[in-house]
Formats: sequence, structure tokens, C-alpha cells
Amino acid sequence: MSHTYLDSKTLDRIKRLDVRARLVVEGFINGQHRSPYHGFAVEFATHREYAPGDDTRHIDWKVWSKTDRLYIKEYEEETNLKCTILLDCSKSMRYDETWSKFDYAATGAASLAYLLQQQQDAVGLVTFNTKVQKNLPASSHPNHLKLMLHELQETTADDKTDVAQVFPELARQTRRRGLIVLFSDLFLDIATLAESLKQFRLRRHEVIVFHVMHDDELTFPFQDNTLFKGLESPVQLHAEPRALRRSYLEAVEKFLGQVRTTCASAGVDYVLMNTKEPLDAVLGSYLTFRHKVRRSARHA
Amino acid sequence: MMLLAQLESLATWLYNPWLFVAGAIAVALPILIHLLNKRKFKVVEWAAMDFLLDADKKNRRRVRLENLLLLLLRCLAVLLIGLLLARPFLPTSVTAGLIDAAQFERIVVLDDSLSMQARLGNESAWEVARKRLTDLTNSLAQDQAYNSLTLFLTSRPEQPLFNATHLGADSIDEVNAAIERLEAGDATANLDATLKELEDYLADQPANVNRVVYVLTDLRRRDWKESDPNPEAPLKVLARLSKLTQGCFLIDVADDESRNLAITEIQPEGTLVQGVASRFDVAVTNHGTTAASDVRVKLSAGGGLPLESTVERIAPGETASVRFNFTFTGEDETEGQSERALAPRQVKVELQTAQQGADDRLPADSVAYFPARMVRGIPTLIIDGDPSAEFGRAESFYLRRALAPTGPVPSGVAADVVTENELESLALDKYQVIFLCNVYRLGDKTAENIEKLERWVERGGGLVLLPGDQIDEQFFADFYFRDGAGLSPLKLENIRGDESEQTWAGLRIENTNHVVLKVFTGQSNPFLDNVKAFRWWGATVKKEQLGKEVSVAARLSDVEESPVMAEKAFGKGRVLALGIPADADWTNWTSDPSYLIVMQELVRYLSADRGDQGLLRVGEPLRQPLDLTVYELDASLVGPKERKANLQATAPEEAAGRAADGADARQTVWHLDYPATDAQGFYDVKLSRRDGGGDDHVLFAANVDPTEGDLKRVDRAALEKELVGSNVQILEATAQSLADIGSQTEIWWYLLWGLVGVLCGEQLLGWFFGWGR
Repeated sequence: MSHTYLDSKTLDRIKRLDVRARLVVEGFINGQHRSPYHGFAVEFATHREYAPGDDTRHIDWKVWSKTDRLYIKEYEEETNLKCTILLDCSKSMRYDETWSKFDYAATGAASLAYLLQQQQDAVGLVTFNTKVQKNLPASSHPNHLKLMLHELQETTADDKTDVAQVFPELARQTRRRGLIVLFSDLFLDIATLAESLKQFRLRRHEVIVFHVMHDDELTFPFQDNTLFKGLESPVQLHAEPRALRRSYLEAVEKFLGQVRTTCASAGVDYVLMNTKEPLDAVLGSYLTFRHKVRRSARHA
Repeated sequence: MMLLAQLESLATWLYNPWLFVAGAIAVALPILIHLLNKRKFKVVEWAAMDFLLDADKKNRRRVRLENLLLLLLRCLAVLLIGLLLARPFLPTSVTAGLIDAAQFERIVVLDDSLSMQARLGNESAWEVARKRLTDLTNSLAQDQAYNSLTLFLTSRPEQPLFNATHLGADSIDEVNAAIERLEAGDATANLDATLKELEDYLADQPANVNRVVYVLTDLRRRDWKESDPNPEAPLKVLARLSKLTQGCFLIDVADDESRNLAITEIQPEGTLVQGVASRFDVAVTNHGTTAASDVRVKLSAGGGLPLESTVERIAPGETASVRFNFTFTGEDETEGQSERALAPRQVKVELQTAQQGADDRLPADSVAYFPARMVRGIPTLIIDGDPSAEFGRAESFYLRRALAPTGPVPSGVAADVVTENELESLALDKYQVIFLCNVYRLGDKTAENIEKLERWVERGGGLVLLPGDQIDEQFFADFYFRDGAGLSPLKLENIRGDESEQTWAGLRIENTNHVVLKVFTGQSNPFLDNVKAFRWWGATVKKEQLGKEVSVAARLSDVEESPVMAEKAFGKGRVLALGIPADADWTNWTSDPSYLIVMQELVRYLSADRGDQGLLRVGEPLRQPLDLTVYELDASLVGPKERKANLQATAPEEAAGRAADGADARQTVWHLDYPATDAQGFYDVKLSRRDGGGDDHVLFAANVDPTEGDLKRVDRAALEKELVGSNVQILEATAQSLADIGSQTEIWWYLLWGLVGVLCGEQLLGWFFGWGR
């Protein structure tokens, strides 16, 4: 594991978790094949008394023969997941030379890909800025991960972010419903973002947005006289950061709020990632959260 | 050149104008720093540029304004520092003279009069003045320039406490200790003399030293007398003084509160006789501008229980009189001591107000002392011109009994009877009243004796002339009347009346207000109507003198209306001449009760002004005649505040000057002098008797000047008006410490505060702009 974006510590932490589609529709999975993840047997969950309307195929006849009662066997759902990771490689992702947002996002993407690979689900990678830069279609082939990691290393962030063309195009390409994971700082027009996310949702893709923000961008800790040079745009501003801090943070807060509402209204999972926080913690907590949500959804 | 001229003009209000110029130039520093700061910055390649631009758009104007404000504050701070270092002062003529001087003499005139004891809140004006003075000496001692102190006290202008004493680290403790020891006296401010003394002092001093005069005073009207045209008035002298010096500062250490109650007078009715009720009149004055109520006056005599009387209300400026009746009881004495003088008693009167001193700012004048010199009776001498051993025959027979009747109640008169020949060897000084009863020639040395008598009256004696049948009108006119210049107010002409006693003349009172006869006036009083004069001396008064030094108290009801009782003021004393004798030969008066009363009252009346012997004003020298035949030359004195002194009698200066007849007597009478009665209270002089009979005490009491209690202040406006044109400034001592005045009217202290304020403001604003929002 010599790859830059595959951090063993991060992986250790999240190894125990699994990535699943939240919405599992029958027929979406090609047959009930055995679960690769949960051992060799079909994962049995629990027994439940039969109620009229239940599928008779699930009745546990062995129990019936012993107890003369009808019980339904319940299983953990299983699925064949096809996941596409969209990674924003616009210039704005380059912020902070030591550990940039792009580095952070790439590590996230790699970790996630590794996890899915372990789960033997298919993972694809798309890097984009104003247009799609590289498109690795989803595959569960073990070599695919290596390819992806190589691709991540080769990519340098450049140009602006523009999803207006990228997302609909991608939505069209990915026919089969699956999981779309977006790593981006979302420095783009909110309306465009809303529209683009809608494209995925219309095709019943499940979307997770990992909003990667640098800690500096969230707290604006600058003090001294500073010349701010735009990464994506050629503007520059000589300012006293202390005087602007309050207004800046207001603007950021407003932006985050808008993004949140946009995601929520599009039915998209939204996770704000601060580059200061350890990646495993963010990913881990999110995945655990998903797991719980799913369980409670099923039991309801 | 222009710059130098500018600098010179700056120098009129700056010690170091160069530093100010430097400060003004240094104002450019913050601007420079600001500009340099703009050039020095970090470059950050920033992703979230939109938000930043948004924030910048919103804040640009505000930030610029804030930056400008901060820059201004910083420039101001630098300017202030420059100004501070330049040590600006308010350009007064005083300081202008001081700038380039290296040697200063500070002349302080310290008012230590009684009114300085007035309370101002928790302190007295005196304490304020003393503190200010110590402040001044302390700050001067630290000053680099050579400072010296000359201190005049108004109580003793002729002896400055310090005379150009150098003020430095080595001497400051000593000077301060000496100042600390000073106390406000009970005396009055001797301002005129002090300022005069100061003027003389300055006239003698070399001119090459800068001098500043500080007058620390409470500015009472009593002392400062604004709009006094007299060229020697304190303000005029002060204005003159200011021209001789670099400046005069009149430092006001008091406030305008003038509420004060004072005992302005304590006066006994007459000679104080042991065992006889004496009356004291105490005058209480309210000097304030509001009425005082419930003023308690307490009189305590000796160790006895005090008498107390309450005055309900004293209107502002009014004087209330309180009367006390007090009987001095005598100690049991053995017969042998009766020749000795009685011990004097100490009478003290105090005021207490219900409002715990709010009415009374000056407690020192709310107490008065009175030396009650006791006698067994008013010492009276009867000179009998017709003595007789036979009962009822002597000329003085009735008079003697009238004055000292036998019986348990003492009359208060101690009468000695002598013949005219015994007069020569007699010292008259111990008598207060002398009766001359039908005395023809006054012994062999008539002229000498008459002169002796005249001098005795001049000194305050009371003489009663009772002429009878032995008088020769020509002799009387030559020696007693002397055409109005002699003792007698009456010129006796001839004996009138009816020898057969068939007709008579009655007494008619002319002056109904006369103290002696007052009791007989009024309708229902029958006493004098019964008096019948069968014979009398026809007499006249000199017309020119009537109504002036001579007055007629009573006349007879005969055709000529002969004056039968006439009074003449003679020196400090008085002479009362009657037209009838004291015995029963010519009248039936002696058998009438009114005779006794008139004679008793006469003694009291003539001795009335002798009651206040030994009463002094504070500062008035104490003088006690000392008869060397009786007492030792040395005497000791115990004054208030445990003060002790030994006195030695000195011969009177005018011993040789006067007429020969009394010369030998006065050669043995010397004087004890004690000038330092500068504190109120009792002064007890102890005289040692030569005969080994122990000590005699003579008591004096010094009271404060009642006018000193008037705390009214000079009108500041009038004062300032009067001082216009002179180099005198009036300053409040309470607002400012003298040290500031000492370093003149420098304002660096305010600048320092201003600078601190500006710097704090800058920091605060900087923080507020940066982080507060």
C-alpha cells in the first residue's frame, strides 16, 4: 500500500464498516446471491410470526414442522452496489499547500473505493472541473483499485468547477441506478448545483455530497495584512483580515446553509468535511450513521 | 531665522520648545509606520474569494474610517508625548520670570490666627494650610534648582521661622518637622505688621534671586479688609510686594462657611466678693448667616458644679446675653489668715450647640475664661475727719455701720476707718473706694496727699466726698475743685439751711437712671421722700463741665436746687461729691433705710469697673505690679497647655519721672511682665511672700479676640478687582496641591492623563475594531 491517498490508519478505522445503498428495491439486485461480506451463510437476521400478506416463500418450514407455527425468516438485505465517485479537481481544491483540500478529498475517495472494493462492489471514479477529466467506469475487478489510485495521483487540480454540463452528462452515462459520491468544495453556483443534483435524483441515483472545506475557509484565522489572490479567478484583494472576518464568516455560513438546504431538498446526504478533522472520523461517523438509519428504516 | 523666532514664541509657554518641535515632527511616524505596514503583507492564494470580496464590499468604508481614526489617535499620542516632554506651562508673568532662573527664594506667609482653626469638614483650615506647605517644601526639595524657604508667621512677624533656609534632601526633614510642630495660635492675625515686615525684609535683600511670595490665609474680612483706602492696608501692601518679587500667590485655605458661635464678652457685675452673690453677664454672638438654636451656655467656677442656661435662638449677627448668678463660697479659714488675699477662682464659660458643632465652626472661641479675683469684701477706706471714741459721735459712725452691718449676712464691703493723719503711711492701691468724711486738710502734707489721691482716682479708684461742717470752702475750692480741674465736681459755696431744724429740704432725683439711685425711683417707693436735709452745702457745678465729665444725680428741693449728688469722671476713676455729710448732724438720712442702701450701692457702683481685673486679650502682655516690700523679686507663672515660666520683676521705667510724693512708694513697686500670652486660658502668677507666709496667687485669663470669630470672608470679586494690575494671584488650596503651584502652573500632569487616555482609547478601539465584532 504505497499509494499516497490510501492511508492505512484511516483504513484501519473504517474497515469494519460497510457501504450500502439506503434505498434497496427488490429487483434492483440481480438475484439473491450470497453475501460476500457477512461470511459464508446467508445472513439470517430474525424470526417473525407470519402475518397475512407476507410472502409465503419466506416461511420457515422447519420451524413450522417443529412448532406448528408459521414464522417468517428475515434476512439482512443484500445488494449489488455500483458506486461512482465524483472528485472535484478544480483549482480551488488546491488551497493549502501542505495538505490541500484536493489531497483530503482524494484520500477520502481512495478510502471509500478501497472499502467498496473489499465489499466486492463496483466502484468508478470521475474527476472533473469544468468538464469531465477522467472517467473510470465502475468495476469490481481487484485491479481496478490500483488503476484508480494511480489516476488520483496523476491528477492535478486546475481550472474552475462547473457542474452544469458535467453532472447531466454523467447522469446520462450511468444508466444503472447506483451510488454517486461527490467530493467537492462546491464553490460554484448554488442553482446549478441544485439543478445538477436533481439530474441524479431523477434517475434515482443515491447521492452523497462530501463537502470539503479547509479549516482556514471556515474560521478565517488570518491576522496580519494579507494579499489574497484568487485561485480560480484573477482577482486579488489587499485586506486586513481582522476587519473582514465577521462579514466573511457570515458569508460562509450563508453559503453552507444554502448548500445544506439545496442538498436536503434534493434528498441528498450532505457531509461537511473540515480538512482539519481526521478523515477516518468523518467517514466513520457518517457510515455508522447510515448504518443506523438503514436499520431503523427497515424495522419501521 | 523664522524658525528661531517661532521657537522663541513657543518658549513663552514651554520649557523645552525643541522637544515639542521634535514631537511635532514625530507625528509623521505613525503615518510612516502605517504606510510601511501597507507595503508589508503576506500573500495567500485563496479559494473562497467570493465570500471575501463580498465581505470587503460591505466593510470597505467602515474599515477605512476606523483606520483613519486609529491613525489620528496615534498621531495625537505622539504629539502629546512631544508636548509632555516639552513641559508646557500656562504663561503667567510669574513663571515667565522663573524660566531661566536657577535660584529661588520661596517666601511663605502663614496665617496662624485663631480663625485658621475653623473646621472644614474633617480638617481645619490650619491643617489644610500646613499640608499644602509641606507639599510645597517636599516638591521644592526634589527640585533641581536651588530653593530656599523663608517663613513668616502672622503671629510673630518680627521673627521669621525660617530665613532663606535651603531646601534640599538634607534639610527637608528638619524643615518639615518644624512645620509640623506649628499650631494655629489663639491670637489675631497681625497681617499689616507681617506684610510690612516682609516689605522691609525684601527691601534689604539682594535682587539677584528670584522670589515668590505665597500667602496662606483663610481670607477673613476681618483681616483683609477689601476696599480699604488706607495705603498700608494688607491688600495694598501685597500689591506693592508683588512688584518686588516674581509673583505673589494668595492661597485660600478656607471655605465660605461662616457659621460660628462665639462668647464675645464675659463681665461680672462688679467686684467679686466671697460669699456674696455675683452676677456674670455672658454675651454670645452668632456670627453666622443662619440662626442658631438651642445654644447651651455652661458656666463653671472653680471645681463647683457648672451652671447651665440655654438660649433658644440667636438670629444671625445677633448677640444674646446670658446672666448667671453665682456665689463664691469661701473656705473655712482660721483667723490668722484673714489678712491674706483670697485665692482667685477660675471661671470658665463654654458653649454647646444642639447640632454638634454644625453651628459652630470655630470651637476655640466658644469658650471664655475669667479670673475671678476674690475679696472678702470690697476694700473700702473711710477717712474720718472728725473721729471720736464716743458712741455715735464719730463722723464715720453711721457710714461704717451702713457699709458693714453686723450680722450673719456679709455685706460684701470691707471697710477700714482711718484718720486723715494716718493717710500718709497708707498704700491706697489696695482700696477700691475711699470715702472722705468731713475731712478738712488731709493731714499735714496736704498737697502731696491730694496728688496721691488724684493719682489713685486716675488709676480707677472711686472717691466719695462727704463734706460737713469742718470744710472750709476756700480751701476746698483751692485743693479739691481747682476751678473744675480738681477732684470735686462741686464748688462748695456756703452752708445753707435751718439750724433750728424747723424747715428742711427733700431729695429730688435728677437722673433716674443712675445706678445708685435707680432703686428709689418709681411711684410706690417712699424711701427717699422721708429724707430731710436741715442743713447742706450750697454748691454749684461748672456749667461747661455739666453733661460732659460732670453729671448731677440728685438735687435738693430748696430754692436754689442745690446739687446734692454730683459725679465726675477723673482719669479711669470717678469722684462722687455729696452736699451733705455722712453723719446725722445735718440730716435725718442716717436713720432712714435708704441711707444703707445708697451707701452700699455707692460702693458697688464705684468699684464696678474693677471686677474685670486680670482679663486680657490673647497677645496682650501680662503685667502685674509687685510690691518688693511684700514679695520676692522672682515669681513663677503657670499658663495654659502646661506652660511654665519664671518671671523676674523689673523696675518701672518712669520711676524717676513723676512727682516726688509718690516716688518712694513706687520705687518699691516693680512690675512682672509676661508678653507671651499667645494662648487662651488662665495664667496663674505665683508670688512668694517675703515674710515666709507662703505664696499668693494672682490670676489672669487671656481670651481670644471676639472679632476673630467672625468668619465672614472677603468678597472674592472685590478682592480680585482690587488686585487688578498687580502681580497677585488668588488660588484655591483645596482644589490643587501647592506643589503644582510651586512648579508653577505646569500642565504636564493633565497632558500625561490625556496621553494615557489617548493610548488607552487607541488600544481599546483597535481591539474593538479587530476583535470586538
